[in-house]
Amino acid sequence: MDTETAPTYKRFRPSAYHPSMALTWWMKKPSYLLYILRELTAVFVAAYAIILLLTVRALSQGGEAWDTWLATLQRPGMILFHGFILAFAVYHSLTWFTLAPTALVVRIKDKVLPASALIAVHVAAWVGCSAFIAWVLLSA
Amino acid sequence: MTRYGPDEYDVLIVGGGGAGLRAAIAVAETDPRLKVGVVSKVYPMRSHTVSAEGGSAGVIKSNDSIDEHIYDTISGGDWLCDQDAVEAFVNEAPKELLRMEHWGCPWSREPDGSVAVRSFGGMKNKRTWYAADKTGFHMLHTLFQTSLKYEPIRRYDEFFATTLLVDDGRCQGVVALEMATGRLHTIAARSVILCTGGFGKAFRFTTNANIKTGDGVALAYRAGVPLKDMEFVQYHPTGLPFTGILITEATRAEGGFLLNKEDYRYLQDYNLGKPAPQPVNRTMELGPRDRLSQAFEQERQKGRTIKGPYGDYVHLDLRHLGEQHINERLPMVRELCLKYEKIDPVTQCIPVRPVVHYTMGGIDVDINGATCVEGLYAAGEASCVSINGANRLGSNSLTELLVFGARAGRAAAEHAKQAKPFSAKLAALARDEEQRIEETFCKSGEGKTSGDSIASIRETLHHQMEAGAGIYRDEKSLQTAKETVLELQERAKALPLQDSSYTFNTELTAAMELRNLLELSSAIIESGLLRTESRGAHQRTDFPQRDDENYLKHSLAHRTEYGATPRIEYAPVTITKWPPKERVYG
Amino acid sequence: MDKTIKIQVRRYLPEKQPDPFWQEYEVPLEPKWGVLDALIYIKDHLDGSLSYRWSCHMGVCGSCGMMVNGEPALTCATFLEEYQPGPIRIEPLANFKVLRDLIIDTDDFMGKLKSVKPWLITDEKRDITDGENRQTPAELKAFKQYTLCINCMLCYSACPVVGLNEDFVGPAAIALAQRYNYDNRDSGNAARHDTLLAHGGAFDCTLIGECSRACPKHVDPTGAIQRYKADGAMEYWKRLIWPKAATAPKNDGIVKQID
Repeated sequence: MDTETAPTYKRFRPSAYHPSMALTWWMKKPSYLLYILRELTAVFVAAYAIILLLTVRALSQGGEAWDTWLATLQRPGMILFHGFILAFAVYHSLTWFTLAPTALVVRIKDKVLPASALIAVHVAAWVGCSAFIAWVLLSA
Repeated sequence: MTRYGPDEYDVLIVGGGGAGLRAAIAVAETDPRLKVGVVSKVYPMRSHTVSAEGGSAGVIKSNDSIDEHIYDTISGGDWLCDQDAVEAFVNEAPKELLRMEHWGCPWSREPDGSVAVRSFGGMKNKRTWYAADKTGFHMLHTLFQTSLKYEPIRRYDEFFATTLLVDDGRCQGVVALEMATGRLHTIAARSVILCTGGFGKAFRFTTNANIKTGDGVALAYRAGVPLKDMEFVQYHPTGLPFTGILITEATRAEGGFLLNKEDYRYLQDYNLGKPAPQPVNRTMELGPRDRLSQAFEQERQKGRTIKGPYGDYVHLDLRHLGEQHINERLPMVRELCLKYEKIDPVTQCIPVRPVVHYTMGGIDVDINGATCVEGLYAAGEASCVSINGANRLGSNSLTELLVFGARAGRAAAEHAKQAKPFSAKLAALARDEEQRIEETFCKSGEGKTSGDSIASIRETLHHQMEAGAGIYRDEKSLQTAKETVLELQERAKALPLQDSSYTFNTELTAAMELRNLLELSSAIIESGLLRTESRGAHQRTDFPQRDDENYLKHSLAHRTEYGATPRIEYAPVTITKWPPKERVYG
Repeated sequence: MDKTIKIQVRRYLPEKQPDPFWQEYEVPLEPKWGVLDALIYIKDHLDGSLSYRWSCHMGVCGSCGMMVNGEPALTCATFLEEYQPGPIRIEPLANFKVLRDLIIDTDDFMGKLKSVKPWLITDEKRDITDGENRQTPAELKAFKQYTLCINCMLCYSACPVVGLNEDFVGPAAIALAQRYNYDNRDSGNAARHDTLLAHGGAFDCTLIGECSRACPKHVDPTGAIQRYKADGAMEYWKRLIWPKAATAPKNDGIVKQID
């Protein structure tokens, strides 16, 4: 552009305002909070994995260590903690199953399987597996 | 040769809607060496093409014929169409629609996978391609997304073109306001194509979007190009009261009924045939738009319409179509009714009234989109080729923007390749334009709370155009409108603004749009005043007959100066194989 | 003026003052008015300096998205009556730079749309004389939902990932990519992996689902993204384990500028 003779319109460079997200953004909406809770379940699932590893270690260290570990697990605090873990694991599983239809589109001929049916199948399979494991453990 | 650096194009397109994007792609396909610029005051997918619903006409099925589409178009236009243009249009229509298919447009389909077609008002056969009832939306998004793959196309989004750079009898670019910064840009181009749409916003009740203010038409007008057939403004018979939202003609093609307050299909009283349970092409609800809108107005005068807070209305009844059919073929209509009228067309009648929909008139161009100014082209609703004559048939306009967008693109590309060098005066012209804008709009009116506002001038204009140049006109109403518009132009001579910002000064663009509308309104009125006959959408109660002897011709409005009455001249209509006949429906 | 309602607008006038501020207006509470009609009333009768974008007034052009009482919404399709007794708080769309008042910077979004190559890519060039492609209603249905996006950007406003990670290509863009990926006429999946598999692509989505809740056209970007993750994961492992099996893009359809 021939800038010498170009119009000298009063130039204004816009300065955009960029609001940043507050650290507490996830408290703004119930749906955000539920999401963060779902993400938080990972911490509890990881904690349970560590407990399992510790259990295996105690088993490998022989009778005395095993008894101590069992005693630790039976403390009220530990039981409460396991209650938390169970609640989060159930929440995690349920959210996982309810989200399944977003990724999975099942077509039968020209019809798409409705989301509710997909969720029901998942939950039924989950309940079935859980019942089987419970049966194995309880009948042993 | 004066170089204008990065802002220098072979072809510059003003307007990023359907016609503009089709033209841009046509240039890029003609020769990938050509640089293409697209200036648009909104992002392309916001353009008003997006609102078109019903479909796009083109002969594709074996039971249809090119000749019938031509005849329907010409008779629909009350013989004011240029027949050579209509022939070219109808012949190229299927190819353009197929091209859209190849670009991915999600056309609705028949069970065998071929494209589906539906009936449309004034069309003898089913030939309207559709994508449910969002055809314009899908076409615009397909064109926009396709345009992204062409590297030679550079867009100037949210740039408002304020004047054409015309020197030495040639159009050589535009001056455009960058809305984000308030900066004026000189964009030089060897060819310019105006694709800015129509000017339905001169009226109060309209299906048209806020942006439809005829900016490009006004640019051409100020550059000395005559405006053709401006008196022909189409009322769509079925818009929602208040919002003016379009309820597509496809509702009637699918079998909807129009009922007056006695639940009577009143169209049978207006020479549109007898009612049948199934829709019959070219009869009753599938008559042309001008006839249907006129029938409404006569019903209103007989007191047989229903009174509402936003004017009288009648009922559009779709209930007998059933929920499944409505969901499949007319999902948007249902969505719009639920949202904006809080009624469900599955169980309730839709209140509708005629609303301004389309301007048949526009920039006078030839069959390739060329104007009388060298290097200046136009396409789409902004232009008048003319294939629409005195009344456009529904579903011809989406096809028109493809066919003539592409034609103008190719012609502009050819012109650009052999254009002479730019003149040295462009920068000086741009400086003049800057001064004009400063003087007209930028004397600060900050803190101004009363007095003449854009809104009050606009409201008076809307009222006058509706009252004086509406569905029915006469000398007295047009004369009153003429005087008012002249007065409004005087009031709008200087429009000091409350907003003195450079960043997104939408008050400034609104003021420019208002002045554009005022200039175009005076052309509509003057053309209408001098056409002492009734034809298509131009109905004079004082001259109720069509007068082929005196008025089988195009009116051409020439601008004299701002705030003065335009000079009207006439040009012959091209008649080839289809001599004028009586227009018969039903 | 019978009934009125208060409208609080988050204003930003960069040439006048560096920070945004709130301004309150009082508008008539008309039965059919949307929030947009209130803004138009303000501009026409109370304050000509208020800036916002709008066009079609029928929920299809995608211009008028704003935050209404903290939720992203199309203001032409959000009605005053639903917010009685008010006040209604209107802000520019969240997660975007604000240029002025209610106008956000959309350039970044436009770039992201383009980055997923949203055009029909075919292996062989087809000519008009070849006629139409066949596409059954079922084949159309497979991608139709993803064609309905109006680019209003409400999903970007609703998505915390967009707010925290500016490289994220975002819900609408991925849904658009899937619109072509699932079109039986298209064979460009391979060309789109580059954007969707990369940093900022589909795997940056943490499945919050807010985009689908915000979408006024029920496009369901969440679903589009999760479905891509399934396809993209396969592609990722193919590329890692056996690059030869990975689908190499034949072309991406881009028409180059020739100088």
